[in-house]
Amino acid sequence: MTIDMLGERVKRTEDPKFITGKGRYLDDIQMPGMTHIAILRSPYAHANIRSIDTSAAKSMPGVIAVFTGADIPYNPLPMAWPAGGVAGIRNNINTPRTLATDSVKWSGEGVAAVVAETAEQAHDALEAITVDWEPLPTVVDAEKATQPGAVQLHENAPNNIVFEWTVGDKAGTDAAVDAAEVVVRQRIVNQRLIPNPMEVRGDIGWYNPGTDEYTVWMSSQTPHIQRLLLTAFVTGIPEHKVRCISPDVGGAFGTKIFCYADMALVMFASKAIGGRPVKWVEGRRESYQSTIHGRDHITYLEIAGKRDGTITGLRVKTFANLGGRLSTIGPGIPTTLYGRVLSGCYKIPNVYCEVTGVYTNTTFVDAYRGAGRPEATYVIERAMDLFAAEIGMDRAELRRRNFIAPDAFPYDNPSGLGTASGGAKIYIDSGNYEPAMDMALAAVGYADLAATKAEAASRGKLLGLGFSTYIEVCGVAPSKWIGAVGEGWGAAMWESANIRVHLTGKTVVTVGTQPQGQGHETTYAQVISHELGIPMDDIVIQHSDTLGTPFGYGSYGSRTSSVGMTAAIKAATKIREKARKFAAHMLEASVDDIEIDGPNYFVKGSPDKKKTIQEIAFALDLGFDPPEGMEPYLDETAYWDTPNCTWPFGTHVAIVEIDKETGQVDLVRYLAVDDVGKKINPMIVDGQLHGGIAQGVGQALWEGAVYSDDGQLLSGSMLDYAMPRASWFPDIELHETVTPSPVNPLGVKGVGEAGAIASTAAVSNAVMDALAPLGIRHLDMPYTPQTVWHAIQTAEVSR
Amino acid sequence: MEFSGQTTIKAPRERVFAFLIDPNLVGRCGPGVESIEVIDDRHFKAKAKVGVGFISARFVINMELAEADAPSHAVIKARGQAPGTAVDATGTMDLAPGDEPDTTVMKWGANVIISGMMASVGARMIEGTANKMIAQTFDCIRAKLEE
Repeated sequence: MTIDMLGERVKRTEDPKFITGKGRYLDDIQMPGMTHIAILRSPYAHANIRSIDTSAAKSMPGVIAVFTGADIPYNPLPMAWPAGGVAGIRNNINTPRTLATDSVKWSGEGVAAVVAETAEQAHDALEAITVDWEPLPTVVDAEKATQPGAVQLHENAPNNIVFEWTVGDKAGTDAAVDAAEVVVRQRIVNQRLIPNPMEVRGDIGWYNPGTDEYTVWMSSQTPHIQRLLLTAFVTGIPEHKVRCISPDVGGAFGTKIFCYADMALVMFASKAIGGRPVKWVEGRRESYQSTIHGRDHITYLEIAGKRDGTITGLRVKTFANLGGRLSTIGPGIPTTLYGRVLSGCYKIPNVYCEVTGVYTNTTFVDAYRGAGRPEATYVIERAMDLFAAEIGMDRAELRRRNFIAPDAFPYDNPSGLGTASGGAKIYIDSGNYEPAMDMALAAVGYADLAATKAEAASRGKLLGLGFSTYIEVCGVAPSKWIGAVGEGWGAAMWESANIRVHLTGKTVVTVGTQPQGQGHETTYAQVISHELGIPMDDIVIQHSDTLGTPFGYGSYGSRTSSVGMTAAIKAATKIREKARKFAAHMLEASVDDIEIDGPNYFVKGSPDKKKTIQEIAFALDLGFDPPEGMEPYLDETAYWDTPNCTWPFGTHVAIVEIDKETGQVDLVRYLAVDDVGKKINPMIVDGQLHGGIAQGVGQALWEGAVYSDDGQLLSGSMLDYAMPRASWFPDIELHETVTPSPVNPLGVKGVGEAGAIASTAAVSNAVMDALAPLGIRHLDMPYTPQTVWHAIQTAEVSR
Repeated sequence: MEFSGQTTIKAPRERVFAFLIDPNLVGRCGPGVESIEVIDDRHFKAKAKVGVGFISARFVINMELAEADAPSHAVIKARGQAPGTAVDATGTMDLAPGDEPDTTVMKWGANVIISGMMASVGARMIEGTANKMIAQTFDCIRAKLEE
């Protein structure tokens, strides 16, 4: 009898290989005749390339070939998601080339490449390449870059503006702000972050001269999309001539969604040298400069309302720094995924948001865990605390008065979150925000906060409690919404799965999604085992190879459980229906009379006279005796386009203690109530929350990418970029409410991003709560000892 | 990065100036210089090994005597490349007679822009290191002139 493992804390079946060093990541792949490529990157943040002399490098030991941009006929990389929303909105698009040809726009842009027998020889030969540079002035700050007289990066982007995007009712919001009893204004910075997956990126390109086909191994979240983009948009090579494979991927957080120049480079290089495989693996420092960054907003927020705590308007102006050229979906993040979710879980009647996307001499910016939604949550949750302080109302009470009521769903917000193709709409389908907040505040002892603060004060500490009541948009996404013309990224976002129950009853599931550490091999198997009654041990989940898996859009946007697993359930349903028909044939009964209980198919009322799915598979796969019209084999494919996103929510609470003398901020308690719907594997959900929370706390307290005015990344290694450490965290206390999502049969919502979306604002609000008695209203992150100490000193001097 | 300083050299101004515009003499005082190649009377090329913290790199530096108003004023511009790193520098030297006979007061300024790996990995150490190297350079110039 198969034990149903759905909803159980099943240990991850993929972990033994990962924790014993038997994973197969990109750099573990060795192939006969494999060569190595290294990329010469610009030291300047802005410069013209007068000439490149590669002659000396070509004669270096082990060197096979040296390329510059002029050698490579490919198109620039694609722009898959320009900013939309307003009819005719203009996007001034500049994307990188495989190697830069005329100029570089950030320190780290690739200009030449060496293929050699070993990686060391390739790197050594880079030293022999001489570039005649013409350095140009630089700008790194998005707001300054739009001002008159600023350095211009691109001829087609006056004032360095990529787009000017707006959403919401300007006149209505202006009127609401003008008429309001109270308006609170604040400039806030959501600083640039450097994502740090444990495994950096890399690719191997192999051109097979015998078949004229390419294989590209890539540390990617999206091998199917990359095949499409690299063929149809970049190289012109026919799609059926390219196979993309993601081997084991050691973390991604969004960075591996995109089409990068190095992918095209290894394809070009392998063909150019006659078909030997070409491997490229970035170093950590190289990753910091040439893989995407996240966030980087400068925002002017205005929140308006009444003294009784009714919020009547939210007006936001944001400068989004997108870097020197655009990454694949860079403009989509600060627009659709940010501006449209600004009002969060609150019923705010008037919302208006302007976003200006800006070029600067910095690394490009794109989706990083949460992607737009952490930035939006930070704005609205800081705004709520600032408003509560202004009118002297308790922060929880203010939120309570403005939550979207549980009976108000389906709900569309005034920034048109649900806008979809052809006038269609999607809606926030469910939510019940107050119980989650009440549970969190009760668990943390909010009612006793004054006493907790007094106790800390007796030890010389400033204690602060902060929380954020977040919602997110997960389970992306209905194709009509995400692909909406002039709004979304212009493509679909359904998912796919194929299930084959083989002769022996062993089952192979191939899926279009792609894990980067989330444990999909375990959770998909839990779901399929539940659906078909086949033991988990008899199920294998195959993924991440365009040969042998159905096309899928990959994993990001907390979509695999909601969208991908629904496709798998749909395929399992087809398997069951076919098995039921064949069972009826075997049992000489009517199909309608066959009942299914786990693996067993039997005539109603006669469970003893049963056929197991394994017996059915054996007979049907052999196909000796199929009923009229039935094809052999239990082999079914399904595609699933979700009718809606999912809408997780919750309340995260942080307590910090600040040492007044040093400015040191310690996170002493962290408690989260998350409603992510039903859970396939609560242990994996907990792990996702832990990781996401750590990343969000990292932004609030420690992390930040820092550029000098001349475009040099000063936080260019882990010596200077403060990645959080486990010892800096208290035990994270996790609680839940469960409101199943109505859009998928599992009732799941996705949890990959929730922690990162909620935690930054919670910690920020906690630090500000601790400093409020000193008259400090707002500080920009990260709250390093220097920042906090300086603010305390300044506040005390001015008092 | 901007640096500046002043030093008094026990040598007459004409001799100091002649030293400063002679690449073979002044070049040897540059930090980590391994070789000097004179291209013409205004241009020369140096190879130098420079370390910042745990990073060291061998630079090829093209230098130009951009201004030379004997015996009081000289400007040297330098552009160097090392793997992943570039340095752009302008050194200005103004010479005035010292209070003592046969002495010269040299006021110097340097504008140094470092790009690439050294800037991003060595950021915390770079200003101190550069300051030290520049001071050593001018100490060396004084010492050689006073030999």
